[in-house]
Amino acid sequence: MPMSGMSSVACVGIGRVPFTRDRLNARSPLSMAAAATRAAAADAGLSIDKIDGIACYGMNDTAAAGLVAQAIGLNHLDWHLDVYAGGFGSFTSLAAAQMALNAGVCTYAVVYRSLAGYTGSRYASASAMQVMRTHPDQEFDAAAGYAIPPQWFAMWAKRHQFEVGTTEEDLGAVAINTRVHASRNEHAVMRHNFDIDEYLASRMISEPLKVLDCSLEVDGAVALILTTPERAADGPHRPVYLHGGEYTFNNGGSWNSWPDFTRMYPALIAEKFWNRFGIRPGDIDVACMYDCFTITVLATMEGFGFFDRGEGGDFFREGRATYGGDVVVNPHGGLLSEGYIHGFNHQFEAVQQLRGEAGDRQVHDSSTALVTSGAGPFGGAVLYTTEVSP
Amino acid sequence: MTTDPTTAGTDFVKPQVHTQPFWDSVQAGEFVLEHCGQCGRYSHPPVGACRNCAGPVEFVPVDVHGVIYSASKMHYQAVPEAVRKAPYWVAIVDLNVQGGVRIVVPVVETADELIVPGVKVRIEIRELPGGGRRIPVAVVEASG
Repeated sequence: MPMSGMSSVACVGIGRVPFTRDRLNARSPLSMAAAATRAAAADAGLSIDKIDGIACYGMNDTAAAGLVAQAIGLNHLDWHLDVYAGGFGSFTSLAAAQMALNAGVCTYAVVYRSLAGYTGSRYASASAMQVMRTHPDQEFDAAAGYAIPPQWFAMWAKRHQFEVGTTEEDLGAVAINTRVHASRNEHAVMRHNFDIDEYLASRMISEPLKVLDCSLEVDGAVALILTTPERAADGPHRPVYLHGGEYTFNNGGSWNSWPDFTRMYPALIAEKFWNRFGIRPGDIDVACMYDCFTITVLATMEGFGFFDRGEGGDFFREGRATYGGDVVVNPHGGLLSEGYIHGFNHQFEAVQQLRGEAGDRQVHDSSTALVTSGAGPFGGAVLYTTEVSP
Repeated sequence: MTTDPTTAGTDFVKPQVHTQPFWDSVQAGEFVLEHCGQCGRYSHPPVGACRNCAGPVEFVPVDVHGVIYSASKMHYQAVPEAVRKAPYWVAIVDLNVQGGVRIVVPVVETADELIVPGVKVRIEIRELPGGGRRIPVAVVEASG
């Protein structure tokens, strides 16, 4: 069942640049976005001039859609959009492109995320976060020394520990599983495996979150090309279909006023999501869970019903989140280990998996992928499948 | 734009037109919240008009007691040392005001083991470590 008023679209092209932490060879968000969008067009077998829509998201740390269009020689556009957003922008920018395609406003839309997250605006830098300036909370948070994402998510993890009994070892199980997956992915920036002792001994950032609980800041860009299903048949790759999903934004963008820090946005959309498509967690082959921090994976998977409350650590330790288990979670290594492209690399991974082109990390016979974006009070989930109808 | 966090000053905190009265009161030693003269709603952070009824707002002194909702010890020096020198504690506090209001504050002058969700705190006013600006902080109540 499609979203009311929304039909499925096809992803026909994916592109990216290497993810790096290299000050000597730093690239700008504009140049990376141009390279990734060109790569996506080439992957789709499309000449650049076929693209008539472009969208992106970011927090004053990206290259604007219009500038990127010009940088790839697209002098005429029918549709463009810059979404000011955190990780949930992965959902909103794709959903906007889906709507634009459905409405016939454009025919081929490229959606990208580009950021110099290591050499440019670092999310671990309070001064960079000040430039990004997101919310009235920030002025008061800054005064309290509460200024960067690991500090915010530490509060969620602490409350989850207090109320649900989650342990540091539970968080570590997510980090370890993710890194094992990354070790098979040559595009991942961090591929060194670690055990629970190394995890527990890693540098504390904000209790209980250690450096291995945190996103890996990198420079990079990822782009997807979407079109209507009837246009998708002629491309060089098997099309993968994006069916949309559910999204919720709450408390005016305030992290602090969300009432229950043990539950994130899936509390409001999980049932709607599963009912929309008539599926359950057991039907998902690949789950690209937004993993800005390990606690986000535990809390959101709990919210989507992959396991019962407080069972996340066991779920990961018992091999249920990897090959041969219930669902393969972040086969690319996620934001924790492949690199922090603000969740857009999760969309890339879902498409590559469903094409059957994921190489050493291919999830056998995968046909259904869940991709989540955002965390805390703000987030969305989309469904990809190999069939034009979900 | 990147500033060395160890040397930057307390101008790190940048009040806006509609938040300046909050900081002015705190500077004078009084903890206040934005309050609607029409419907009585308390609000934080201030937005310059009532979120509930769009009524006129003013800053009024409130009960300085509350309960820690969550708290974390910050080891990474994310802000200028003049604002807070790591390691330090920050808590999200549910204030005992009508309708409920949350505020994020450093927790000071308290032993680590006492800083846990559910404990009672009192909001006090302290100068930032770098001097100048005064801000609200929390202290765990002796009786717990």
